[in-house]
Amino acid sequence: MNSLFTHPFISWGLGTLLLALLIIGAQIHQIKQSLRQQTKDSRNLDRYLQHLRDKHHQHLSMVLHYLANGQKRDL
Amino acid sequence: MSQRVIVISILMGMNILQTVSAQAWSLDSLQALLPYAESDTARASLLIHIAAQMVWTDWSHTSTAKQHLLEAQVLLRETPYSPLRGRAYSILGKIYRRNSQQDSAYSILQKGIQEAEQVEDNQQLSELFSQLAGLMSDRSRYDSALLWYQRALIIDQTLNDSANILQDFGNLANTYGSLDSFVQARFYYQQIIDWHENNATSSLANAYSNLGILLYQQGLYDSTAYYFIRARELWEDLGDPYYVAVVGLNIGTVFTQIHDYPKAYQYFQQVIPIFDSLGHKAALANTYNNLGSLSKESNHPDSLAKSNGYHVKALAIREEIQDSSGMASSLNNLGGNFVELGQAEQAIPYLKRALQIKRRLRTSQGKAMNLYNLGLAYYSLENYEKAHSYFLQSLEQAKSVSSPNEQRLAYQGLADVAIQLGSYRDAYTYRLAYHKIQDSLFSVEKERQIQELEIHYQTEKKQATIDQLAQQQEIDHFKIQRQQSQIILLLLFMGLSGLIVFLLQQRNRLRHQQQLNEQLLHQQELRLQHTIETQETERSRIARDLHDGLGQLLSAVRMQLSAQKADTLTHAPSLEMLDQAVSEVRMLAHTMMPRSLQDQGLESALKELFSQTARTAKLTIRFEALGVKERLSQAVEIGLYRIAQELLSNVIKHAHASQVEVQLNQIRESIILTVEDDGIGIPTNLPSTGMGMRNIRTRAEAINGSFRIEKGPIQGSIATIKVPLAIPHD
Repeated sequence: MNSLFTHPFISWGLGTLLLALLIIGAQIHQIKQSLRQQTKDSRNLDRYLQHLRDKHHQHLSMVLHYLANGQKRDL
Repeated sequence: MSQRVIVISILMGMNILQTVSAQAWSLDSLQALLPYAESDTARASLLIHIAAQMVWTDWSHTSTAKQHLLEAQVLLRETPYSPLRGRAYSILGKIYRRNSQQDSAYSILQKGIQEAEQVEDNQQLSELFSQLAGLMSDRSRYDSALLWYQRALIIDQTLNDSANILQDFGNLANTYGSLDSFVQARFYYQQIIDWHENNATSSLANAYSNLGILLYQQGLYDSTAYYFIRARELWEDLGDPYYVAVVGLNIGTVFTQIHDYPKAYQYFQQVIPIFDSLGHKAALANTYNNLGSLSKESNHPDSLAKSNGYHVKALAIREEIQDSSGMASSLNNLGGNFVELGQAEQAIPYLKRALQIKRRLRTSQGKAMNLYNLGLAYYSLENYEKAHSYFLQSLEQAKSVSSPNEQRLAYQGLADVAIQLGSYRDAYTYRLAYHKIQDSLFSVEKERQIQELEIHYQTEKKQATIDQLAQQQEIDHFKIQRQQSQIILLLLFMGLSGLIVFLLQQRNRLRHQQQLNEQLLHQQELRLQHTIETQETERSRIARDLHDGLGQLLSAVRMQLSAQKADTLTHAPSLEMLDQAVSEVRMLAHTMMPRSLQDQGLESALKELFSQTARTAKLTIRFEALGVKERLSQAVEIGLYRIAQELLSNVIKHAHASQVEVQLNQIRESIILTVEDDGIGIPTNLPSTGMGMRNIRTRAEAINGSFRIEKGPIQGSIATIKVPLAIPHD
């Protein structure tokens, strides 16, 4: 049994497979982290876009309010 | 001629075991209990136990034991059969056998068997069968003994009682040995040996020892020595010096037989101190006797004198322990040696005394040799008639015990005497008989040698086969092991490969997801920029409309009103209101999109923004613009203006600063806007995703620029926006 495992071909083969496993595992970990970051970024962008829209809407409604009622409202 | 002694020690392991366990209860304590036995059964049970103990302890109380057993039988007469009664029969049988009352033993054992068979008490049946077989052996009815031992074996095998099975094997082997059925005897000894698988037990040692004796009887001395040596090793392991010595004595005898005298001498010498220390005088005498016989065989000139020395020692011990048979043997050996030394006169009294003892004991053992030695002594003294008479008696004795060697010697003696007496015809006849026996002995010896060689050959052949099989087995084992490890390896490889494939799929799926997300993010960013641009465009349009449209209209109305001089007083409040309205519309338009930014450029717009902010927020704002000579693109100007606005708003809201320094520089192909404050600086846990920061970053990215915020050299923070001018932004 031991002699089989110490055979160069087999030990190299096993070593390579384990190394491949390690590399792929690391890559998957990295991609998952990046995905998490992307999700976070996407959410933030959405929120910001919404924020911009709200603010713009505020501005316009303020101008319209002034023009309609002659009263100034704080920006 | 002298006799050698081989000590035959056929012992059964079971007897030893029974003795040991029985000693757990002492005889005295059992007897003390007797008066307290209330019921008949209890008393009978105690009586049987006492009798058993007496028989096991020693044979001197047999009559008492017998009385106890008979009383127990009377007490148990009315009760149904129980193993207790079977036991009583068995012990009684043993006592009768011991007392040579064979008929009584037979009838009691038969009765016991009959009763035990009715209730199928197999345990007692096996014991009773063995007893009966022993009885048959005592009567030399070995065939019958075999039958009973075999029945006992069958029962013990059914009961799976290994101790009794081993005992049965031993008994069967001994009985076959007595019948000269050496193959069967050897088979049963081998069974015992195989059973033990080299575990050092007394039973195994006995099996080796007995097998050795069996082979000795067959004249297979090499094999005998082998088994005796194994037995001796086992006894050594078991720590029983007596049996070590007994087997050592036997090994010495075997070596004497195969003429390996130095080894034989060594073994005999080894056993002397053991027997001496253990006080086994008979065995010690036997050893001296054997040493005497051995010494004679060496070629040393003093060999006979030395031999006599040993025989004298043996004789002295035998006289001391009153071993008549042994004494006769020693006396005969001594006489024989004196005859060979040419001291016939001295020999005769020894030999005659030996003969006298043998006659008194009515034993035929060694008698022919004794008579022959006497014949030789008288022949040396030229008393041919007496010599003739003794040789003739020796011949008759040898014939009666069917001993060819002694017959041959007697014929030789008779022939020599006949020659001396001038009876040449008789001499010829005797010589002829002598040669005939000599030839037959020679052929027997040859046959024995051939048989031994055959056994050697067969043994070697078997050993070679065994070795080959063992080797094959080892190879097979190795192959199986290799196959197993190959399967394990294959599974390992497959498992790892499967895992890798699965993980690769997983990785590709995640990568695809990542790419999709990237696209989504890009689209989101585009949408954001587009929204910002649209918003700015809309703001600037509304601001322009307010300023140029409503603002201009209100200005025109004011001018018209003020032109009407007459009603100046009347129109004064209206003019004031109109001024306020124009100012508010301008303010409104400015808030939406500073006019200065559109008309005069970023530098003026920023100056205006900072002066206004400094006024309202009570801040000292220093603004410096260096190297900005021409107008920038509208997108860059609006972007940088909004960023400055946001940064300033952040400083007012969060930094608690008193001074702000703003620089707008054009260095080569880049515009750099720096806003530095002396506030509390940026907190370390500032969320990079806050709306303000996000706003600034997105606006910077929208105009292809970069944004950085860091701590100031002493306090506060420095925000830097760098926008390259080489790439068109519109």
